Amino acid sequence: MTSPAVVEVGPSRGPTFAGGRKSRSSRGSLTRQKQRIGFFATLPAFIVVASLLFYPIGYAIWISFLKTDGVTSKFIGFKNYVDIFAAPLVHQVFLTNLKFLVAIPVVIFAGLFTAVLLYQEVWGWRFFRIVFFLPSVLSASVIGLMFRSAFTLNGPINSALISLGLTPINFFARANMAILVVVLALIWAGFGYAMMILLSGLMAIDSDLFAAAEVDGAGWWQRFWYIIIPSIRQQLAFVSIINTLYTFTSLFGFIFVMTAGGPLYSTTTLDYLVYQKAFSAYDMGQGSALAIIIFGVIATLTVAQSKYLRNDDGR
Amino acid sequence: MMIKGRIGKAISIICAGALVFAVSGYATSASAAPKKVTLKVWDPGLMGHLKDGALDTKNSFIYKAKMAYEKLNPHVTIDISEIDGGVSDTQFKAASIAKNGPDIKIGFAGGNTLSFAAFLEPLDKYFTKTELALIKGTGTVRQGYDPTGPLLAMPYGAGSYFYVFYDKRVMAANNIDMTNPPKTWEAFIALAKKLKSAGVETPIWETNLEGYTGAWVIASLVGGQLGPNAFYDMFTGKTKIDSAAMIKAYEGYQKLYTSGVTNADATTAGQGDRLNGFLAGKGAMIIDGGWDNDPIFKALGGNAGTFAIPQLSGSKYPKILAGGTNVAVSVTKYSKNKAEAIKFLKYLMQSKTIDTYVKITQTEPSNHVNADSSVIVNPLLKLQAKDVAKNPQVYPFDNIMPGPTNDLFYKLNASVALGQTTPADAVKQLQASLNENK
Amino acid sequence: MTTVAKMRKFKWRTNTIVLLALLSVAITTLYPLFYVVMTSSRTLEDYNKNAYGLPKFFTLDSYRILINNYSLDTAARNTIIVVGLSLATSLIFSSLAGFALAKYDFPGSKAINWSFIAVMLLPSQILIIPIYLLLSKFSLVGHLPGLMFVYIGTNIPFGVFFLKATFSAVPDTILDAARIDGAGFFTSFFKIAVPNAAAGITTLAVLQFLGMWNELLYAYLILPDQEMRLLTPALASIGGRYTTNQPLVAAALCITATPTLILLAMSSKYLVRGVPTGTGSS
Repeated sequence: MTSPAVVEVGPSRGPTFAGGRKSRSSRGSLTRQKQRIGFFATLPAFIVVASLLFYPIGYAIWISFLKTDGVTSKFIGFKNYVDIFAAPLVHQVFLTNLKFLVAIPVVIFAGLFTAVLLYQEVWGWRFFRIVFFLPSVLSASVIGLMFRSAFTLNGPINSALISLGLTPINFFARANMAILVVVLALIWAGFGYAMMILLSGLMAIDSDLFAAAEVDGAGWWQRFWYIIIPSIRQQLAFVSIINTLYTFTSLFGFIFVMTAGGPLYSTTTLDYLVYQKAFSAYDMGQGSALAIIIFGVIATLTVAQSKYLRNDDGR
Repeated sequence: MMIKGRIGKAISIICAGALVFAVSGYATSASAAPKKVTLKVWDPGLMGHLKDGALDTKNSFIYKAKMAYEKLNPHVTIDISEIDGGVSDTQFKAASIAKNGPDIKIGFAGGNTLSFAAFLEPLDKYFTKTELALIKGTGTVRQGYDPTGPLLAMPYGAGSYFYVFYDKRVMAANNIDMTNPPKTWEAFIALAKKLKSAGVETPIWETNLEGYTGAWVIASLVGGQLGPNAFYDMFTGKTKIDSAAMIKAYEGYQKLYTSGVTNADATTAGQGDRLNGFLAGKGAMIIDGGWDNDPIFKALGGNAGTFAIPQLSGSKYPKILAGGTNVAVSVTKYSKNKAEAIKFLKYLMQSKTIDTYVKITQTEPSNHVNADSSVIVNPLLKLQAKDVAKNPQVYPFDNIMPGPTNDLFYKLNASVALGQTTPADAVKQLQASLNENK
Repeated sequence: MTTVAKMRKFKWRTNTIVLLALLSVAITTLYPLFYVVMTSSRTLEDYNKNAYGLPKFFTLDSYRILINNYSLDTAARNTIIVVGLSLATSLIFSSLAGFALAKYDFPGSKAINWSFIAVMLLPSQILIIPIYLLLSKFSLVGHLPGLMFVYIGTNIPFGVFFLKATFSAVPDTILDAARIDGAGFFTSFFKIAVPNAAAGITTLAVLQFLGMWNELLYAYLILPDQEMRLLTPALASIGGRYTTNQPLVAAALCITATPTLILLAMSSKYLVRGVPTGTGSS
């Protein structure tokens, strides 16, 4: 069972096995053939992506070293980067983004909770799956509008608070309250997506594992912790990484509808700044520099999450 | 068929010459029937009329202009693209960098037009001095707001001005005589207070989540103190944003929210609820502008009244109107059909054409010296047009300043109204932002 | 016998608890959507009078307006072409690459894998202008293939990342057994890997469909002319924060959301639970 695996791994590890190659030439050429076909299978995807993005990424990186309005440009080295690191608005907005990261564990928990519930396949589970996915189908501006109308002074939430004898809260007037509403909206909008992915991971779990566990007398909790969680590590990592990415790059449209980025800049996110700077009349380079800095942050977080959550490539 | 010798050479030269002459003759007569040209026009919904949210091409000004012009100039086809307002800037910028944008760009006058200066053809050399003298408002589209700077666009329409609209019935019910509307900002607030104590629940309907009300009020109150060039001077650095006049204006503006004369959620209700709320009767008065003349008149009819946002008492320019040119029409530098584009632009700038625009939209007066004011039927607009004809105007802060500064401006307006930023601090931040972004 | 009976009883109790839990979550998702559907069938005046109350009359005016004013049939056709072809191409390329990266180690596979991930992590706003420039150079602006190229190119990195994880979960034992039986790459791919990963592939298809269906920015930028417009951009121009006609917006939303939901409902048939029996586990 394991020997073919050893041979596959061998030659790609380098010259150490060169000596033994001759005696395993038939297996070696099989491996090389495997490598070749693996390479060619990946090629179409790679070619499309490279042809679309190679020039744009190069352009973006090049621009980050210029002061330009799109027509004329001046080379200024790292000045854009320095300016951004020093800008207080960037600091404030970066902190705001970090605050929104709070939503991620909650989204994953909610997604996992509902995925496990659906996994029981009780009556009507397919219906519920569609229902839970509904928020993800809506566009960001619609969800934003919904939450805004729900949390206004005269809206349903405050009416509920009043009927419970509490004083109504002006949610969008204070920074932290506004952030809370946005986080709730993020959770509501995102748990369905996470659920779908986690559910597909759950579906792939070999049912024999559960049968074996039951024979061993494992209870529900043990089954959850020792079978389900490890089996969907990849999907959990995936959801975690995607949501982190989303938090740093795609929240603006969503938030703007609810709070206009306010009060003051307290709910403004980094992607808003990137957008504003990237299309600035006088200085497009700053947008690129900021985006590249953000990329660095996300990449670091992604690598960290990968190492922590995934078995290395599961091979 | 070779003809030999000198005679042959002479004959062939003559034949060639005749051929060239014939061909060029054909060309000349062909240019009498000129080449077919397609002009690409991009409009971010400014000259197109929306009905039920969709573009009403039958009743939109730009489509009417297109039809009329194409009739007069059969060799020209005008291809109008309605661009979504949210991406129009992005789209124009990207297309311009790639040099395949439109021939004619319709956009916002002021800072927006100036931000695309690199891509817009300066128009001075195409218009004579007499022609330019017929058009009012060119100051809003000159590069750097310098009266001698390149003219980047032609202003279209006299623009929208910031006015208070009110429901006449509420005033009548409370025995308030509006033949002489409040003359000062303080009197305006006092009027609102009077209504409140008379039992009107919401004298002034306010929605200031985004901070736009601040933009209108500050423009008025500062213009009243500093005059028509108030914000041009701040932009060029002649005067400071961080000044006593601005602080005084912000303090007056703050009173709007601390006098108990607005709805309770004034500071967090959004722009989307603004007009609808007033039309639904949620408030007796609303601070708004000429762009809403049409819906307000349609909903309230003869019960709608209006007066310009009044100035602080003691202002040097008590009758000044805040507002100005909204729409500007430009020709792009990279256009391959510049001559034809300019011709179409000149057609648009004719007095009769602008009158058609005014007639259809009923939101702003004409900016042509020979305008026919009888095309205005909306009584609110009639009143505004009269004011515009006789009173000075101040072009607002957010029409002039660079994008990020405007962004900060709106946010600060909301924050000052909430009481979370002091006027003094607000103007300091604005000055810093302008310094950074110019 | 008694143990089985006991187990069944246990199952009944958990089932009811699970059902109740599902229902309570469902209410939080359904109510707002119910509200949106309600709003879409109200008149504007009625809505303005009382946004949260029950409507006084029902009308399909909003839908009628949308269909008449927005040339939805052309938009729908354009959308089907663009989204359909882009989705198909993206899925095929991504699954081939995902499978290869998951199971066929070759020199440079790690680099390629990480380059796909890196591309995914870059904020896309700064790529808008250069992508536009690139498309413009090849005269793809204003044409459907231009948008398709963008969608395929931007969907593949995510697709590969996701499918690599999905295919990794396919047990090596089955693949090795097949290889011993003489199966090549494509046979393993079509007969074993894809059926096993059906749940993942279907999920990805739905997610990518959704992404393209709701995508606005590039759809506007690359197809500025109204005849070429896709469905969601055509309808989205009436929405947003400043809109004053909420029933119309709600109707537009219902139209845009429906196809995805139908797709979702249909795809449930194709989700296969677990590994097909008969392959054994050793």
